[in-house]
Amino acid sequence: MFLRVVAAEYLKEKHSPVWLAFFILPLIPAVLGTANYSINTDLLTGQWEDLWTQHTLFNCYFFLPALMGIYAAWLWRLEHQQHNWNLVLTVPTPIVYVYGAKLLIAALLLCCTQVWIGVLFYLSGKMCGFTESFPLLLVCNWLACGWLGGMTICVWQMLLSLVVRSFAVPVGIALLGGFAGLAATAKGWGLYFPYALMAVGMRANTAHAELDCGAAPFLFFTISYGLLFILLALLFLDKAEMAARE
Amino acid sequence: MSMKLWNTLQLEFFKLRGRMLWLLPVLLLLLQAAWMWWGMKSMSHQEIIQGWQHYLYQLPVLNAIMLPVLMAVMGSRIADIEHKGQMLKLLYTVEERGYVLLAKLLCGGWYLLWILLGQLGTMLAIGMYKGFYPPVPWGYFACYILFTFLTSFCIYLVQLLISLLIKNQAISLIVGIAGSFCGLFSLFLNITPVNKLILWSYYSQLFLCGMNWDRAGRNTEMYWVAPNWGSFLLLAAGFLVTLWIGWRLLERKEC
Repeated sequence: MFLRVVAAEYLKEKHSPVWLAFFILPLIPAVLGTANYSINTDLLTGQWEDLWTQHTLFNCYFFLPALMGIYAAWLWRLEHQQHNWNLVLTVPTPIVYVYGAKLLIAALLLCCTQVWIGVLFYLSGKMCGFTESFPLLLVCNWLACGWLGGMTICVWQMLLSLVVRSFAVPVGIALLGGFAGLAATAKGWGLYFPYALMAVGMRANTAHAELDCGAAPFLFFTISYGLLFILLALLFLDKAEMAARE
Repeated sequence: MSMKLWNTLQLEFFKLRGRMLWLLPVLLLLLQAAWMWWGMKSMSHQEIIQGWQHYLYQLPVLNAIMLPVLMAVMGSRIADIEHKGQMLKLLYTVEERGYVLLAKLLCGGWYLLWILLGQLGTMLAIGMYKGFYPPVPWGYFACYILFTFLTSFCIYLVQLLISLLIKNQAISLIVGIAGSFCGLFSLFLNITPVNKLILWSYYSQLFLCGMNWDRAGRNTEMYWVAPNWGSFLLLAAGFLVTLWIGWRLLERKEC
């Protein structure tokens, strides 16, 4: 039954242009980050590592959180409109499945975005004429950890968009949260702040092979936050009178 | 202001009652104030001497990142109330479309003005507390408010038009994020002819301070930059053209 709910979610969203944003927006930091790297080659001497920070620093703090905010808000918007909660709550499907299907689609889209960021990074490096070989395993590690950190933001934004019925407010909160994440990371509190976890995972500040905070604490906080936000969302769906809130 | 426009504007504020549109601007101001306070705590003596210039250099950078998305959010919220329940259809039977656009524009401008005055107040409060060297550059502050207001107001106009013309609010917010991206990178890549065409880059084009960085001594020296009235006038002309095009588009749009 879960697969049928996922198929229904896919049907709802397949003709929306929102997914395009995930592919067009990473192009901007890729192009401009590469241009900035090319201008400052006297300062930025570490080839792939320095190019990585140029591509991901602003992306992780300012734009990907806001973008995930848009996507999460968009996933719930359809249900918030036109008394659709009446319909969703009366179909013989557990509400957990509806939430799970939306989460799965968000996770897949974020995964595609991460792969796309990786492809753009590889192409940019080739265009810069790097002599070092492409660190494939390292980049996969950065992207995978970034995906995990990004999923924490995603489930938080899904919770926000479920509770706050406005489309734009959660996006604004995501932008401010991303900015606060930058401050939290600068203070050394990035691990404890959900909006900073994506940048921590992707090593956006310093492109090290190892996580500065250690792999175990990173996994612990991303998974704990993720489970907490999922639980809160399910509790809200279970307890709140969704249809009456329209 | 004609009576009709005044009434429409009053109705706009009436519609926004209880929607807490002020919440995100207040959060933005708090975040920026925290950022300035934090930066102030680690200022060297040289930086305190040039404190006002430091803030007039840093704030446009923060604005280039944050204000475009905030403008997109505000534009979306102000326009989206009309999309719900086909309100636009009803509204256009009792109000002229142009007046609706102007009223929504002025309504957002009012909030924007308070954001900028809040920034100015924060700057002055921190500067006085820390003892930034006098005189307070009132002329530059006035230019800062004027330039930032016009840039943000233009962005808000574009976002409002997109939000009114396209029902799917995700589109306007994506445009806001993409614009913010371009504005941010224009701070690093100053390609003048290209930047003139990018609305979001005017935060950096209208800088009132410049910075010399001595890499060896790790010192920064700030200097005043003469207000760029040429870019300002170009932006003002762009605003009027966009308003005219938007007005026409709105009048022709089928609800």
